[in-house]
Amino acid sequence: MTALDVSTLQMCALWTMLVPLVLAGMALMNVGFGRARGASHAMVASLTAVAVAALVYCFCGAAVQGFRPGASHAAILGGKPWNWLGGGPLLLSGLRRMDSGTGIAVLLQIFSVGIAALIPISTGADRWRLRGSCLSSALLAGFIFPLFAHWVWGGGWLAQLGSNYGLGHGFVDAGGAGTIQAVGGVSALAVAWLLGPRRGKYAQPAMPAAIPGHNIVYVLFGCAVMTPGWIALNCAGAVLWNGAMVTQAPWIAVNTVLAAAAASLATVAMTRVRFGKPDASLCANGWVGGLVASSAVCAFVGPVSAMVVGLVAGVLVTFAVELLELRLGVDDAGGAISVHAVCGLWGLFSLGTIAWATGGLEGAARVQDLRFGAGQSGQLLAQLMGIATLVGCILPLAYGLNWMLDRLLPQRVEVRGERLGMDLHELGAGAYPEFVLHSDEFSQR
Amino acid sequence: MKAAGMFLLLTGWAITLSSVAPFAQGALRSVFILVGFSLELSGLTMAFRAFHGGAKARRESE
Repeated sequence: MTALDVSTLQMCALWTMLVPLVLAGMALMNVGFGRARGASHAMVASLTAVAVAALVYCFCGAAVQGFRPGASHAAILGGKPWNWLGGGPLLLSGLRRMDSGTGIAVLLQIFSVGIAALIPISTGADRWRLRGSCLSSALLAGFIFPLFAHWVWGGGWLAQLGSNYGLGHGFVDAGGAGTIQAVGGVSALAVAWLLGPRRGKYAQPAMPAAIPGHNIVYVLFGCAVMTPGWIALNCAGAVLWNGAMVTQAPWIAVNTVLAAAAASLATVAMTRVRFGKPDASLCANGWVGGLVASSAVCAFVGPVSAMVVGLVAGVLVTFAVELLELRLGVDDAGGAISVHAVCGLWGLFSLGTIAWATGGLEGAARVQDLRFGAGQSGQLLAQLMGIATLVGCILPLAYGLNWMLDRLLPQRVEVRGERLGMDLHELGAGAYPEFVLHSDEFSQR
Repeated sequence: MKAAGMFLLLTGWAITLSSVAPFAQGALRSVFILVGFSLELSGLTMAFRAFHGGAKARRESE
């Protein structure tokens, strides 16, 4: 993180205060995508996941991540320093004496780790114990997220790929498409593998049963709520992690909205063409997928490129949801893996291709310091390194840690609890006590 | 099968990382990247197959 002037710090503080809107929107989506008899449980799980993530991150996660110019652990490989791990103090104790910019960065990271922790909650809907989701969030916030965040934002080896090996600017991820979204997305995949599908989802061998979310209005409203928070997240990330100027913020916001709009309309068109009618839940997922992909590129491209990135993200969401559910047998209730992992990885890849290719074409000076010049083709390789790390290192790490947790304390609720509903089984009261809820079994249509 | 998938993922990652090593220049760098990503893809495929098989077994037991 570079030293910032007072007005920049004020703007970063304002943006950071808006980021909890993303948490609120994601919690609403988690509730809406689940069943009515697990609505209260989904909201409690979301709230507790954020709470646990914030506490554990402050206890040890911030130490693992480290904040520049703080201490870190580096190894010399091939004559080059490879910065692997942050060396900060526990409980943020040393950071209080640092400048207020570091305080804002810590606050942004607390919200960011909360966002990452909310992503698997959606995947594990209606079968993930509260205890399991809290402990899994602790692992994510205490080690998995800070480790990758150190590599990218804490001056770690991925960020050093540029200075050490001449690969463009090193791995770049301004708004957290990889560091927040893809890390949360691959953790969601690990959780989906460990928990297995919901009861009744794959009861018939031919076709999985459709288990629709109980309130699509919550889901769509969640999209609307999270949008201003996401714009703020992208602006704050670009300024704090990539040295963008405050004057670039309006264009970052424009790119974020355009990417989301293009992605959402792409899913409307795709579902209209393929299924005859637009699918509301996929449209919501398309919107979020566009936001996720925009996080990587919003500070580095022009509006047209942002729309292209969003358009591709929308198409990817449609196919990824179908591929995971129908072909690969992964029961992802809210489509979190498709939205956060697939679109996050796409955003990172597009940074090395579209952002680089358009770098010399868009004449405006708004991203001149960050734009990739014509001679910096190594940027794509740096982005590929980051993608390979997320899939080849963070996914096995998340799976391994959650597997050990599952051995110690089973994360999936027992059959009786699933039949009864998570609200009654785990909390003792339903979200809608005056409503008569549907029966347990979903039949094949 | 699951463990083998995870092992392949990690191996693929290590090989992809090797592409920035001083001895991997030019075409050799592309080979490292291609081999690394292929191994990661194989690991993912293997893991998906293994977990899909587990879900099938669960369904049959129900």
